[in-house]
Amino acid sequence: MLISHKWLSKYLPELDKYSKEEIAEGLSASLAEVEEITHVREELNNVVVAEVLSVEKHPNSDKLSLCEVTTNGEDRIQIVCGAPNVAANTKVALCLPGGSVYADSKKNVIKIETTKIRDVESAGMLCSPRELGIGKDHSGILILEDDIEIGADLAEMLQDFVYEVENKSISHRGDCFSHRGIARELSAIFSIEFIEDDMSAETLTPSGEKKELNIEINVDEKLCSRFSALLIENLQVKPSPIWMQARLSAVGERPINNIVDITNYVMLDYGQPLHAYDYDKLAGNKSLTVRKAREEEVVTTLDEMERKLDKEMVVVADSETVEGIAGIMGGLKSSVTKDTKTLILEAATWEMFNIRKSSRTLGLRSEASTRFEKGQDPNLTLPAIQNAFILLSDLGNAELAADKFDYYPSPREIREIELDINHINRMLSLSLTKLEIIEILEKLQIQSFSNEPTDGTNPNQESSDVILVKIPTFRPDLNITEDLVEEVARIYGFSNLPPKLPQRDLTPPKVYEVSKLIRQLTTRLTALGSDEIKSYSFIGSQDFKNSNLNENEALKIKNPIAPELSVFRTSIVPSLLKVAESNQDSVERFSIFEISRAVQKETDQDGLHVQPWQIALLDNRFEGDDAFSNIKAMLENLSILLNVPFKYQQARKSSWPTANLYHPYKFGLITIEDKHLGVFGVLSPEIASNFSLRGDYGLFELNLDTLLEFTNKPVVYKPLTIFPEITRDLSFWIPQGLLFSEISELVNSENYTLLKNLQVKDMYSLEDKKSITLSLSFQSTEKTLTDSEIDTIVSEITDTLAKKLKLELREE
Amino acid sequence: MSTSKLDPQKTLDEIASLLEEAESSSKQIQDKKSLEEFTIKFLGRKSKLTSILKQVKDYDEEHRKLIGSQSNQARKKIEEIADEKSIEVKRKEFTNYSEKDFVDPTLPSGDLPSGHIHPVTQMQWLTEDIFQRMGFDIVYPYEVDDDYHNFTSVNLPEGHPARDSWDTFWTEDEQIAITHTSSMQNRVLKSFELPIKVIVPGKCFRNEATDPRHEHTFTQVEGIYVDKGISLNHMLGTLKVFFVEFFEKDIEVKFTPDFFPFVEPGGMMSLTCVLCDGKGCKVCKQTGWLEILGCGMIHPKVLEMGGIDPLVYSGFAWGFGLERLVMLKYNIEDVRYFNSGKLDFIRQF
Repeated sequence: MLISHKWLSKYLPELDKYSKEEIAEGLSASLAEVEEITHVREELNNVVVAEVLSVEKHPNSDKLSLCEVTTNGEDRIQIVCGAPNVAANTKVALCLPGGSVYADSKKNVIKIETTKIRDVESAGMLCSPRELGIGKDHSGILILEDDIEIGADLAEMLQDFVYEVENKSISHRGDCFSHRGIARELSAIFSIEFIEDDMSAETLTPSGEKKELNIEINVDEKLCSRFSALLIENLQVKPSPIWMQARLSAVGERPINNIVDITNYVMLDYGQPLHAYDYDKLAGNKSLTVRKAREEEVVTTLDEMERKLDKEMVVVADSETVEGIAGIMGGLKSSVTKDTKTLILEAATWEMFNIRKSSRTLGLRSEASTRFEKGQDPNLTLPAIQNAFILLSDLGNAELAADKFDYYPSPREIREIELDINHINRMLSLSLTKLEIIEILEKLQIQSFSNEPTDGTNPNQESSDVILVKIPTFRPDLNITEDLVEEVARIYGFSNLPPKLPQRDLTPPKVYEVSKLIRQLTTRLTALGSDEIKSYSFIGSQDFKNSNLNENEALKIKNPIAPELSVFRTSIVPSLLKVAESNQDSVERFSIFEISRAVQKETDQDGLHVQPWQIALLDNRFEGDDAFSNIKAMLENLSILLNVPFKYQQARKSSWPTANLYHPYKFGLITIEDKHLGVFGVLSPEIASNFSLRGDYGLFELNLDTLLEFTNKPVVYKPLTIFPEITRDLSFWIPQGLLFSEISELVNSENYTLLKNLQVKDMYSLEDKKSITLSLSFQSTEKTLTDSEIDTIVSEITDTLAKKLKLELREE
Repeated sequence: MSTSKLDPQKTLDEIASLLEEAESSSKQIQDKKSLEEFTIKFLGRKSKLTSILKQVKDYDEEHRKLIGSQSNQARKKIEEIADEKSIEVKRKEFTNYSEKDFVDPTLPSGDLPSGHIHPVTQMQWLTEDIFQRMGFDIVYPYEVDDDYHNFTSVNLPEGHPARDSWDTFWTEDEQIAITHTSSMQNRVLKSFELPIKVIVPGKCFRNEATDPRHEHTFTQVEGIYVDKGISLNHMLGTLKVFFVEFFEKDIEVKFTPDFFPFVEPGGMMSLTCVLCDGKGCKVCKQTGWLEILGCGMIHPKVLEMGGIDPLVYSGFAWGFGLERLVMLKYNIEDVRYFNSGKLDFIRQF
């Protein structure tokens, strides 16, 4: 939002005590950031008001005119002018020799000197609006109003400073979307006087013969809490005076004609949007009705676009058509043109939520809707149209043609809030007195009342710390004590609040187990050469297809950015596969992992989607069988790190949702105490090809929520023994398909107390036979074992293995 | 028993010359073999010294002691020489180096490559560690949460216009891809014991088009502090101390008003620009300040919905994005790299 310095100065006579930078800093520190200060029309120089005395044809040109102008009523200055609209007895803008104006609308500057144009001397230049930086119009020179004083310094009049205020942070402050609102804030921030012209004294009595002003409100009071209107006749549509054009164009509003400019000016001044209907263009008995739009009803708005409405939108219509979408934009049919003579001037208060919704549905935002969306004070409507009427009558003989219309069934009243000053002091670590707080609030036009005698005559009376504050109707954002804490803080100055640390007890914060586990896994896996990546939680349908996952188990996004980001991932693996694909051309060998929540469509008893923490790792550093054993080695490493004994099982088919991603014969389950923890193996070649991956990929996934149930188990220490450990190697022929876990589980289930360890020393296949060499170590905590003692156990083990698993002891 | 005359003086001379001989011939020792010959010759069973020692008892009392001690001393000395030589010989044997053994120490190995921890993770850990040292607990958010937790319970009831500031991803069942980690605030207020000091780092989502400065997925750190007598100043102090630790620099903080429905008073906090130390640079647009987070005093309605009496307790809350801090720290030009999985990017950290 652009705010003009000159405009503000009208209400703040002391404003120029402060530099523009100080003003911007003051606003930034206490209201909203000023993003930029712009010196408007800085380059204009030596441009004055002149009167054209005579216009003749240039002796050497058909298109040029030779004019005589004066800037003081006496001296005649000869100017050559090419504009078609130059005429005697008009007031114009003259750039004198040595001055400068704009060469184009890109703000390139030209210097004006006395020159000869086709052999005739020209001592300056008459300027077009574009040359003065007022707009893009370069079709002729700017004709100024008749009553402007000649010789007046136009360059000075047109120059201004404009503050660009970031308006997102004041979306709750509808009152600040206006020059008066910002001026009021500045008066509080700098403690300077704020002088506002009072319109209430103006009488609005129609002078001539009365016309009909019929307006009917056919919507709920909530949607239209106030509707004020004037019927104004005898209008003369013409350009606005230069001062108004200067103000409007400085804040980015294009001057059009006096009527349009005045409605814009009043809106930027008060924050109250106005709308003007050309009375003569209204149908039938010229009455207006505020009603809901009919479904699919159509209106062509001012911007010449056809808009389709719905039943939720509020419109202002005549007996035939919609003449305006309430609070958003007027209709083209009854819009003001140069021929407008009579108009209805509307100032209404529309409900913010409805305006916001309609504006969004239509995809149509305007200066008016921006203001109504924030909520406007209904008490502004009358001052705003009164002010507009005064401007219109000053500029063009306008007269009232009917009594004012004012629908205001439930006037908004000043609210009262009880305020405990201790609460303010507590929230700001301050010790302001009651009087200081009252003074701060008064600067913001918030009046306070206290029952305590202010002259201090009764020192024994317990003084009340509670004051009653009256919230003006333009501050609907102030409702609770905390709102007033902010008011006090920002006017007192946030920068005057010294930072301090809270006192706290010495209770140490808890270890957050998820964070701890994630850190352990991350640091270990990176130490093992794997890189941690992060990727989007959203994937696409194609990713589900490519990874053989069931999309029906996944949660869809209703309003995705793109189809490839339209579903929450149920597993991290598809993301890793895509990341692998994008890296494989630039990085030869890599291992990547990600730790994140995955999201299931399934919900828990609280209606929350099941979102387990997962880790997935994908590794292409090894080929063939090594791809598998590397993944297994990593898992064994993690199992030792976490002191959680992972158990590995063979599974060709598994209920684990991503089981289909794996090579069916190079795949295993990971369990802890019969709980399903994860899966691992080699990526199925089919899936690899779906993601255009080359080479072999090892892969594992763990559910960290499950893992967390088993971490933090204490280490069980076994005392060291001095007796030697004795190892025996045994080689067997074993049946095809027998798993090592079957052997180890069988041996372990026999509980040989002296058996310390069972390991695989060697394994190979010979045609259809498979050999395994087991290394068994024995140790006692009480004595040195003898050969015969060990022989006994070994033969027991051998017998059991032979009997139950058909292991055949190989003769050496 | 031999009656041959034993000449003590002659024996003493013999010992002296043996010692001399041993000293001079030790210089000839070059290898294991010559060392062994030396040992046999001077210290062996058949050596002169051994035979002298064997005969000591045959001398008269007067000389027995002298010859005994002299010959023992000589033996000890020769043993020392032999030991010394043995070290020399051993060293010679094992330091028989050759040019052929040369290894290029500049040659990369790459056998034990280390992986890399994602820069946002590193920054998250740093943040968690500082706040834990300051006494804060940690909670992680969900990725999908319901309307109540994401919006309503932080004073953004349905239909509230401020909801539009959060470009929200809605799920098919009208839940929300969390727009901020304030989604946990209500649960934290309800489940933690007062005084409450909790941070919530986690992944958030905003439905907006991506470009080098905008990402639909990012990491936010929400913080909550509730106790009796907590003021806005405590918030400024707490965050200032955090950022001083975080950037390891002396940093000032500045609070400017802004509107967030879940806090009142609410605003933006800026830090002294860490790149120019407040002098003004391109990154801080010459202001010397970096706007880094939204914060404020928790709105009494939010406390009430969390089961906390706003008349007794007050508190503050904040939220900042981690990616922004990482980008500032390393001068990263495009926020989209973080979720790209590009190893060329990750491997720099």
